[in-house]
Amino acid sequence: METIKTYLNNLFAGYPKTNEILRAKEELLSNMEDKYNELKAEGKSENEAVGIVISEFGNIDELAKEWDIPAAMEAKGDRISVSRESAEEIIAAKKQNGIMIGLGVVLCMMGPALTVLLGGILSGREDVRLDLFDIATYGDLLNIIVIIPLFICVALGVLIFIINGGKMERYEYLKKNIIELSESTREYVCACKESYRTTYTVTLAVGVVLCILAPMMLIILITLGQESDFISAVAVFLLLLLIAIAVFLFIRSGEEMNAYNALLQEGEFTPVNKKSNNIVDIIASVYWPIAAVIYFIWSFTTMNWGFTWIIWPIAGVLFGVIAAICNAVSAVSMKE
Amino acid sequence: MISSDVIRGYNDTILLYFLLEGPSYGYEISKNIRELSEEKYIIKETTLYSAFNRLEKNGYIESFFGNETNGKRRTYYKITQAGICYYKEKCEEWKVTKEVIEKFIKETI
Repeated sequence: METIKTYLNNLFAGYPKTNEILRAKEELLSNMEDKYNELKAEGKSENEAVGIVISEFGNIDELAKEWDIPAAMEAKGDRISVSRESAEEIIAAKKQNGIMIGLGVVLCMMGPALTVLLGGILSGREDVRLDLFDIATYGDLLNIIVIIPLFICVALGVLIFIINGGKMERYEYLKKNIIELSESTREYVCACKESYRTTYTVTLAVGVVLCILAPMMLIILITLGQESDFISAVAVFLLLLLIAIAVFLFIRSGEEMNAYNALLQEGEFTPVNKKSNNIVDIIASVYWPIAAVIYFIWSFTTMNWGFTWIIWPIAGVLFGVIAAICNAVSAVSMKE
Repeated sequence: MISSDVIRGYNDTILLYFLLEGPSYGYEISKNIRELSEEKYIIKETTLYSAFNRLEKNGYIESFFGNETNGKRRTYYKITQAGICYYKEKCEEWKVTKEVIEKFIKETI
Protein backbone atom coordinates (compact mmCIF):
# COMPACT_ATOMS: atom_id res chain seq x y z
CA MET A 1 0.00 0.00 0.00
CA GLU A 2 2.95 2.32 0.72
CA THR A 3 4.06 1.88 -2.91
CA ILE A 4 0.67 3.12 -4.10
CA LYS A 5 0.79 6.14 -1.79
CA THR A 6 4.29 7.00 -3.00
CA TYR A 7 3.17 6.59 -6.60
CA LEU A 8 0.29 9.03 -6.09
CA ASN A 9 2.46 11.48 -4.15
CA ASN A 10 4.97 11.56 -6.98
CA LEU A 11 2.26 12.07 -9.59
CA PHE A 12 0.74 14.96 -7.62
CA ALA A 13 4.06 16.53 -6.63
CA GLY A 14 4.04 18.86 -9.62
CA TYR A 15 0.60 20.29 -8.95
CA PRO A 16 -0.31 23.06 -6.53
CA LYS A 17 -2.16 21.92 -3.43
CA THR A 18 -5.55 23.48 -4.06
CA ASN A 19 -8.66 22.05 -2.40
CA GLU A 20 -9.86 20.67 -5.72
CA ILE A 21 -6.63 18.82 -6.39
CA LEU A 22 -6.26 17.52 -2.84
CA ARG A 23 -9.81 16.20 -3.00
CA ALA A 24 -9.03 14.38 -6.24
CA LYS A 25 -5.93 12.85 -4.70
CA GLU A 26 -7.79 11.76 -1.58
CA GLU A 27 -10.56 10.11 -3.55
CA LEU A 28 -8.22 8.39 -5.99
CA LEU A 29 -6.25 7.03 -3.04
CA SER A 30 -9.43 5.83 -1.36
CA ASN A 31 -10.57 3.98 -4.52
CA MET A 32 -7.13 2.47 -5.06
CA GLU A 33 -7.02 1.37 -1.44
CA ASP A 34 -10.39 -0.38 -1.81
CA LYS A 35 -9.20 -2.15 -4.93
CA TYR A 36 -5.90 -3.13 -3.30
CA ASN A 37 -7.63 -4.52 -0.20
CA GLU A 38 -10.00 -6.59 -2.30
CA LEU A 39 -7.19 -7.99 -4.45
CA LYS A 40 -5.28 -8.93 -1.30
CA ALA A 41 -8.41 -10.57 0.12
CA GLU A 42 -8.67 -12.62 -3.08
CA GLY A 43 -5.23 -13.97 -2.24
CA LYS A 44 -3.07 -11.88 -4.59
CA SER A 45 0.49 -11.16 -3.47
CA GLU A 46 1.56 -7.65 -2.50
CA ASN A 47 3.40 -7.18 -5.80
CA GLU A 48 0.55 -8.47 -7.92
CA ALA A 49 -2.01 -6.31 -6.10
CA VAL A 50 0.11 -3.15 -6.41
CA GLY A 51 0.83 -3.95 -10.08
CA ILE A 52 -2.85 -4.30 -10.95
CA VAL A 53 -3.89 -1.17 -9.05
CA ILE A 54 -1.22 0.96 -10.72
CA SER A 55 -1.85 -0.46 -14.21
CA GLU A 56 -5.51 0.48 -13.85
CA PHE A 57 -4.79 4.00 -12.63
CA GLY A 58 -5.02 5.75 -15.99
CA ASN A 59 -3.49 9.08 -16.89
CA ILE A 60 -3.28 12.11 -14.65
CA ASP A 61 -3.44 14.50 -17.64
CA GLU A 62 -7.05 13.46 -17.99
CA LEU A 63 -7.73 15.14 -14.63
CA ALA A 64 -5.23 17.97 -14.97
CA LYS A 65 -6.97 19.48 -17.98
CA GLU A 66 -10.06 20.08 -15.86
CA TRP A 67 -8.15 21.67 -13.00
CA ASP A 68 -8.02 25.38 -12.60
CA ILE A 69 -4.24 25.63 -12.27
CA PRO A 70 -3.27 29.24 -11.40
CA ALA A 71 -2.68 31.53 -14.36
CA ALA A 72 -1.63 29.38 -17.27
CA MET A 73 0.89 27.31 -15.40
CA GLU A 74 2.05 24.03 -16.68
CA ALA A 75 3.22 21.23 -14.46
CA LYS A 76 5.89 18.79 -15.51
CA GLY A 77 6.89 16.61 -12.60
CA ASP A 78 8.19 18.97 -9.94
CA ARG A 79 8.98 21.71 -12.47
CA ILE A 80 6.57 24.56 -13.07
CA SER A 81 7.00 27.07 -15.85
CA VAL A 82 5.76 30.55 -15.04
CA SER A 83 4.65 32.94 -17.77
CA ARG A 84 5.29 36.69 -17.83
CA GLU A 85 1.67 37.39 -16.74
CA SER A 86 1.92 34.94 -13.85
CA ALA A 87 5.23 36.46 -12.79
CA GLU A 88 3.64 39.92 -12.68
CA GLU A 89 0.69 38.49 -10.77
CA ILE A 90 3.01 36.81 -8.25
CA ILE A 91 5.01 40.00 -7.69
CA ALA A 92 1.84 42.06 -7.16
CA ALA A 93 0.41 39.45 -4.78
CA LYS A 94 3.65 39.25 -2.79
CA LYS A 95 3.84 43.05 -2.45
CA GLN A 96 0.31 43.10 -1.11
CA ASN A 97 1.09 40.13 1.13
CA GLY A 98 4.01 42.06 2.62
CA ILE A 99 1.74 44.96 3.53
CA MET A 100 -0.94 42.70 5.01
CA ILE A 101 1.44 40.50 7.05
CA GLY A 102 3.28 43.65 8.13
CA LEU A 103 0.00 45.19 9.32
CA GLY A 104 -0.91 41.96 11.13
CA VAL A 105 2.41 41.92 12.95
CA VAL A 106 2.12 45.63 13.80
CA LEU A 107 -1.34 44.95 15.28
CA CYS A 108 0.02 42.00 17.27
CA MET A 109 2.78 44.21 18.67
CA MET A 110 0.57 47.24 19.29
CA GLY A 111 -1.79 45.06 21.39
CA PRO A 112 0.72 44.58 24.22
CA ALA A 113 2.05 48.11 23.66
CA LEU A 114 -1.40 49.62 24.26
CA THR A 115 -1.85 47.38 27.29
CA VAL A 116 1.39 48.69 28.77
CA LEU A 117 0.43 52.29 27.97
CA LEU A 118 -3.06 51.94 29.38
CA GLY A 119 -1.70 50.20 32.48
CA GLY A 120 0.73 53.08 32.96
CA ILE A 121 -1.97 55.71 32.56
CA LEU A 122 -4.43 53.97 34.88
CA SER A 123 -2.05 52.98 37.64
CA GLY A 124 0.07 56.12 37.53
CA ARG A 125 -2.68 58.33 38.89
CA GLU A 126 -0.27 60.48 40.85
CA ASP A 127 1.34 61.54 37.59
CA VAL A 128 -1.82 61.99 35.58
CA ARG A 129 -4.20 63.90 37.75
CA LEU A 130 -7.39 63.22 35.89
CA ASP A 131 -10.62 62.23 37.63
CA LEU A 132 -11.47 60.17 34.58
CA PHE A 133 -8.98 57.56 35.66
CA ASP A 134 -10.34 57.10 39.16
CA ILE A 135 -11.47 53.64 38.10
CA ALA A 136 -7.97 52.56 39.00
CA THR A 137 -9.20 52.06 42.55
CA TYR A 138 -11.06 49.00 41.29
CA GLY A 139 -8.10 46.67 40.88
CA ASP A 140 -9.86 43.81 39.06
CA LEU A 141 -11.68 46.11 36.69
CA LEU A 142 -8.35 47.73 35.88
CA ASN A 143 -6.83 44.41 34.91
CA ILE A 144 -9.71 43.71 32.55
CA ILE A 145 -9.73 47.13 30.93
CA VAL A 146 -6.00 46.93 30.36
CA ILE A 147 -6.16 43.69 28.38
CA ILE A 148 -9.09 44.70 26.14
CA PRO A 149 -6.93 46.50 23.53
CA LEU A 150 -4.52 43.55 23.60
CA PHE A 151 -7.21 41.10 22.59
CA ILE A 152 -8.80 43.39 20.00
CA CYS A 153 -5.47 44.09 18.29
CA VAL A 154 -4.30 40.49 18.36
CA ALA A 155 -7.68 39.26 17.10
CA LEU A 156 -7.55 41.71 14.17
CA GLY A 157 -3.95 40.71 13.46
CA VAL A 158 -4.79 37.01 13.46
CA LEU A 159 -7.81 37.68 11.24
CA ILE A 160 -5.53 39.37 8.71
CA PHE A 161 -3.09 36.44 8.88
CA ILE A 162 -5.83 33.90 8.23
CA ILE A 163 -7.45 35.78 5.34
CA ASN A 164 -4.07 36.44 3.82
CA GLY A 165 -2.83 32.89 4.33
CA GLY A 166 -5.80 31.64 2.34
CA LYS A 167 -4.99 34.02 -0.51
CA MET A 168 -1.34 33.07 -0.65
CA GLU A 169 -1.98 29.32 -0.58
CA ARG A 170 -2.04 29.16 -4.37
CA TYR A 171 1.55 30.37 -4.53
CA GLU A 172 2.82 27.63 -2.21
CA TYR A 173 4.52 25.94 -5.14
CA LEU A 174 7.05 28.78 -5.29
CA LYS A 175 8.54 27.39 -2.11
CA LYS A 176 8.55 23.77 -3.21
CA ASN A 177 8.81 23.41 -6.96
CA ILE A 178 11.54 24.21 -9.41
CA ILE A 179 10.52 27.34 -11.32
CA GLU A 180 11.18 27.72 -15.02
CA LEU A 181 11.09 31.15 -16.66
CA SER A 182 11.42 32.04 -20.30
CA GLU A 183 14.45 34.17 -21.19
CA SER A 184 12.41 37.38 -21.55
CA THR A 185 10.52 36.80 -18.30
CA ARG A 186 13.78 36.16 -16.47
CA GLU A 187 15.20 39.44 -17.81
CA TYR A 188 12.05 41.28 -16.73
CA VAL A 189 12.20 39.89 -13.17
CA CYS A 190 15.95 40.60 -12.98
CA ALA A 191 15.32 44.20 -14.02
CA CYS A 192 12.57 44.57 -11.39
CA LYS A 193 14.90 43.17 -8.74
CA GLU A 194 17.77 45.46 -9.72
CA SER A 195 15.59 48.56 -9.66
CA TYR A 196 14.24 47.58 -6.26
CA ARG A 197 17.62 46.86 -4.71
CA THR A 198 18.38 50.48 -3.62
CA THR A 199 14.94 51.02 -2.07
CA TYR A 200 15.32 47.66 -0.35
CA THR A 201 18.70 48.53 1.17
CA VAL A 202 17.50 51.95 2.33
CA THR A 203 14.34 50.45 3.86
CA LEU A 204 16.35 47.83 5.74
CA ALA A 205 18.79 50.49 6.96
CA VAL A 206 15.94 52.67 8.26
CA GLY A 207 14.51 49.60 10.03
CA VAL A 208 17.84 48.79 11.65
CA VAL A 209 18.34 52.41 12.77
CA LEU A 210 14.85 52.34 14.35
CA CYS A 211 15.71 49.11 16.16
CA ILE A 212 18.88 50.69 17.59
CA LEU A 213 17.21 53.99 18.51
CA ALA A 214 14.25 52.31 20.22
CA PRO A 215 16.06 50.86 23.27
CA MET A 216 18.23 53.98 23.53
CA MET A 217 15.12 56.10 23.76
CA LEU A 218 13.73 53.68 26.35
CA ILE A 219 16.81 54.00 28.56
CA ILE A 220 16.89 57.79 28.24
CA LEU A 221 13.18 58.22 29.00
CA ILE A 222 13.28 55.88 32.00
CA THR A 223 16.35 57.63 33.38
CA LEU A 224 14.78 61.07 32.94
CA GLY A 225 11.43 59.84 34.23
CA GLN A 226 12.88 58.99 37.67
CA GLU A 227 11.05 55.68 38.07
CA SER A 228 7.66 57.11 37.28
CA ASP A 229 5.31 54.28 36.22
CA PHE A 230 3.61 56.53 33.71
CA ILE A 231 6.78 57.58 31.92
CA SER A 232 8.09 54.00 31.92
CA ALA A 233 4.85 52.85 30.32
CA VAL A 234 5.07 55.56 27.66
CA ALA A 235 8.69 54.60 27.05
CA VAL A 236 7.83 50.91 26.58
CA PHE A 237 4.94 51.91 24.32
CA LEU A 238 7.23 54.03 22.15
CA LEU A 239 9.81 51.24 22.09
CA LEU A 240 7.27 48.78 20.77
CA LEU A 241 5.89 51.35 18.33
CA LEU A 242 9.31 52.01 16.81
CA ILE A 243 10.10 48.29 16.63
CA ALA A 244 6.69 47.64 15.06
CA ILE A 245 7.44 50.24 12.37
CA ALA A 246 10.84 48.62 11.79
CA VAL A 247 9.30 45.15 11.56
CA PHE A 248 6.70 46.44 9.11
CA LEU A 249 9.49 47.83 6.92
CA PHE A 250 11.41 44.53 7.11
CA ILE A 251 8.38 42.44 6.18
CA ARG A 252 7.09 44.75 3.46
CA SER A 253 10.44 45.02 1.68
CA GLY A 254 11.40 41.42 2.46
CA GLU A 255 8.28 40.05 0.80
CA GLU A 256 8.89 42.02 -2.38
CA MET A 257 12.50 40.82 -2.47
CA ASN A 258 11.22 37.29 -1.78
CA ALA A 259 8.98 37.48 -4.83
CA TYR A 260 11.96 38.25 -7.09
CA ASN A 261 14.17 35.66 -5.40
CA ALA A 262 11.46 33.02 -5.58
CA LEU A 263 10.98 33.57 -9.31
CA LEU A 264 14.72 33.70 -10.01
CA GLN A 265 15.41 30.88 -7.51
CA GLU A 266 18.01 32.90 -5.69
CA GLY A 267 18.73 33.46 -2.00
CA GLU A 268 16.64 31.19 0.19
CA PHE A 269 14.80 29.83 -2.85
CA THR A 270 17.59 27.80 -4.44
CA PRO A 271 16.56 24.17 -4.91
CA VAL A 272 18.79 23.16 -1.96
CA ASN A 273 17.18 25.67 0.38
CA LYS A 274 13.69 24.67 -0.71
CA LYS A 275 14.31 21.24 0.82
CA SER A 276 15.37 22.69 4.17
CA ASN A 277 12.51 25.21 4.12
CA ASN A 278 10.15 22.26 4.16
CA ILE A 279 11.76 21.08 7.39
CA VAL A 280 11.57 24.58 8.88
CA ASP A 281 7.89 24.74 7.91
CA ILE A 282 7.21 21.51 9.77
CA ILE A 283 9.06 22.75 12.87
CA ALA A 284 7.21 26.09 12.67
CA SER A 285 3.84 24.35 12.62
CA VAL A 286 4.60 22.84 16.04
CA TYR A 287 6.75 25.62 17.48
CA TRP A 288 4.36 28.58 17.23
CA PRO A 289 1.26 26.86 18.68
CA ILE A 290 3.41 25.73 21.64
CA ALA A 291 4.66 29.31 22.10
CA ALA A 292 1.05 30.55 22.03
CA VAL A 293 -0.02 27.96 24.62
CA ILE A 294 2.86 28.90 26.93
CA TYR A 295 2.01 32.60 26.47
CA PHE A 296 -1.64 32.14 27.42
CA ILE A 297 -0.99 29.80 30.35
CA TRP A 298 1.66 32.12 31.72
CA SER A 299 -0.45 35.24 31.19
CA PHE A 300 -3.66 33.85 32.64
CA THR A 301 -1.98 32.34 35.70
CA THR A 302 0.00 35.48 36.52
CA MET A 303 -2.38 38.03 34.92
CA ASN A 304 0.79 39.96 34.21
CA TRP A 305 -0.16 40.85 30.60
CA GLY A 306 2.08 43.88 30.69
CA PHE A 307 5.14 41.65 30.87
CA THR A 308 4.35 38.25 29.32
CA TRP A 309 4.49 39.60 25.75
CA ILE A 310 8.28 39.33 26.17
CA ILE A 311 7.81 35.69 25.11
CA TRP A 312 7.24 36.76 21.48
CA PRO A 313 10.52 38.55 20.77
CA ILE A 314 12.35 35.70 22.56
CA ALA A 315 10.46 33.04 20.60
CA GLY A 316 11.13 34.96 17.37
CA VAL A 317 14.87 35.13 17.91
CA LEU A 318 14.99 31.49 19.02
CA PHE A 319 13.08 30.47 15.91
CA GLY A 320 15.58 32.33 13.75
CA VAL A 321 18.35 30.30 15.39
CA ILE A 322 16.49 27.01 14.84
CA ALA A 323 15.81 27.86 11.18
CA ALA A 324 19.46 28.79 10.63
CA ILE A 325 20.61 25.49 12.16
CA CYS A 326 18.16 23.52 9.98
CA ASN A 327 19.39 25.29 6.86
CA ALA A 328 23.03 24.70 7.78
CA VAL A 329 22.43 21.00 8.54
CA SER A 330 20.54 20.35 5.31
CA ALA A 331 23.10 22.29 3.26
CA VAL A 332 25.81 20.06 4.69
CA SER A 333 23.82 16.87 4.09
CA MET A 334 23.04 17.95 0.50
CA LYS A 335 26.74 18.40 -0.22
CA GLU A 336 27.45 14.89 1.02
CA MET B 1 -10.97 -5.24 -23.58
CA ILE B 2 -12.66 -2.14 -24.97
CA SER B 3 -10.44 0.85 -25.69
CA SER B 4 -11.26 3.86 -23.57
CA ASP B 5 -11.41 6.11 -26.66
CA VAL B 6 -14.44 4.31 -28.04
CA ILE B 7 -16.42 4.33 -24.83
CA ARG B 8 -15.50 7.85 -23.66
CA GLY B 9 -18.82 9.49 -24.54
CA TYR B 10 -20.73 6.87 -22.57
CA ASN B 11 -18.92 6.75 -19.23
CA ASP B 12 -21.49 9.23 -17.91
CA THR B 13 -24.32 6.93 -18.96
CA ILE B 14 -22.68 3.96 -17.28
CA LEU B 15 -22.12 5.81 -13.99
CA LEU B 16 -25.66 7.21 -13.94
CA TYR B 17 -27.04 3.72 -14.63
CA PHE B 18 -25.57 2.47 -11.35
CA LEU B 19 -26.52 5.60 -9.41
CA LEU B 20 -30.16 5.15 -10.51
CA GLU B 21 -30.14 2.07 -8.23
CA GLY B 22 -29.05 4.20 -5.26
CA PRO B 23 -26.07 6.12 -3.85
CA SER B 24 -22.67 4.54 -4.39
CA TYR B 25 -18.94 5.25 -4.23
CA GLY B 26 -15.96 5.01 -6.57
CA TYR B 27 -14.68 1.52 -6.04
CA GLU B 28 -18.12 -0.07 -5.86
CA ILE B 29 -19.08 1.40 -9.24
CA SER B 30 -15.77 0.45 -10.80
CA LYS B 31 -16.26 -3.13 -9.56
CA ASN B 32 -19.85 -3.22 -10.84
CA ILE B 33 -18.74 -2.03 -14.28
CA ARG B 34 -16.15 -4.78 -14.45
CA GLU B 35 -18.68 -7.44 -13.41
CA LEU B 36 -21.56 -6.30 -15.61
CA SER B 37 -19.29 -5.94 -18.66
CA GLU B 38 -17.90 -9.43 -17.94
CA GLU B 39 -14.41 -7.94 -17.54
CA LYS B 40 -14.54 -6.47 -21.05
CA TYR B 41 -14.47 -2.92 -19.73
CA ILE B 42 -12.25 -1.95 -16.82
CA ILE B 43 -12.58 1.77 -16.10
CA LYS B 44 -9.37 3.61 -15.18
CA GLU B 45 -9.28 5.45 -11.83
CA THR B 46 -8.63 8.81 -13.48
CA THR B 47 -11.46 8.31 -16.00
CA LEU B 48 -13.85 7.42 -13.19
CA TYR B 49 -12.89 10.40 -11.06
CA SER B 50 -12.97 12.88 -13.92
CA ALA B 51 -16.43 11.60 -14.96
CA PHE B 52 -17.76 11.98 -11.38
CA ASN B 53 -16.25 15.42 -11.19
CA ARG B 54 -17.80 16.57 -14.45
CA LEU B 55 -21.22 15.11 -13.60
CA GLU B 56 -21.13 16.87 -10.25
CA LYS B 57 -20.12 20.21 -11.77
CA ASN B 58 -23.05 19.91 -14.19
CA GLY B 59 -25.42 19.18 -11.32
CA TYR B 60 -26.29 15.66 -12.46
CA ILE B 61 -25.01 14.09 -9.27
CA GLU B 62 -24.30 15.20 -5.70
CA SER B 63 -21.56 14.00 -3.40
CA PHE B 64 -21.64 13.45 0.34
CA PHE B 65 -19.49 11.73 2.95
CA GLY B 66 -20.68 8.34 4.07
CA ASN B 67 -20.40 7.05 7.64
CA GLU B 68 -18.00 4.15 7.51
CA THR B 69 -17.61 1.94 10.54
CA ASN B 70 -13.87 1.41 10.01
CA GLY B 71 -13.17 5.12 10.27
CA LYS B 72 -12.43 5.69 6.58
CA ARG B 73 -14.10 8.74 5.06
CA ARG B 74 -15.61 7.81 1.72
CA THR B 75 -17.23 10.07 -0.86
CA TYR B 76 -20.62 8.82 -1.98
CA TYR B 77 -22.52 10.05 -5.01
CA LYS B 78 -26.25 10.23 -5.62
CA ILE B 79 -28.15 11.09 -8.77
CA THR B 80 -30.22 14.29 -8.99
CA GLN B 81 -33.45 14.97 -10.91
CA ALA B 82 -31.38 16.70 -13.62
CA GLY B 83 -29.19 13.60 -13.73
CA ILE B 84 -32.20 11.36 -14.38
CA CYS B 85 -33.27 13.58 -17.30
CA TYR B 86 -29.72 13.60 -18.65
CA TYR B 87 -29.58 9.81 -18.41
CA LYS B 88 -32.81 9.53 -20.44
CA GLU B 89 -31.40 11.86 -23.10
CA LYS B 90 -28.20 9.83 -23.30
CA CYS B 91 -30.24 6.61 -23.74
CA GLU B 92 -32.18 8.18 -26.63
CA GLU B 93 -28.93 9.44 -28.12
CA TRP B 94 -27.41 5.96 -27.92
CA LYS B 95 -30.37 4.37 -29.71
CA VAL B 96 -29.87 6.73 -32.65
CA THR B 97 -26.09 6.32 -32.58
CA LYS B 98 -26.41 2.55 -32.56
CA GLU B 99 -28.87 2.61 -35.49
CA VAL B 100 -26.55 4.83 -37.52
CA ILE B 101 -23.33 2.95 -36.84
CA GLU B 102 -25.08 -0.38 -37.44
CA LYS B 103 -25.68 0.73 -41.04
CA PHE B 104 -21.93 0.87 -41.61
CA ILE B 105 -21.12 -2.50 -40.06
CA LYS B 106 -20.75 -5.49 -42.37
CA GLU B 107 -21.23 -8.91 -40.86
CA THR B 108 -18.85 -10.47 -43.42
CA ILE B 109 -16.31 -8.98 -45.73
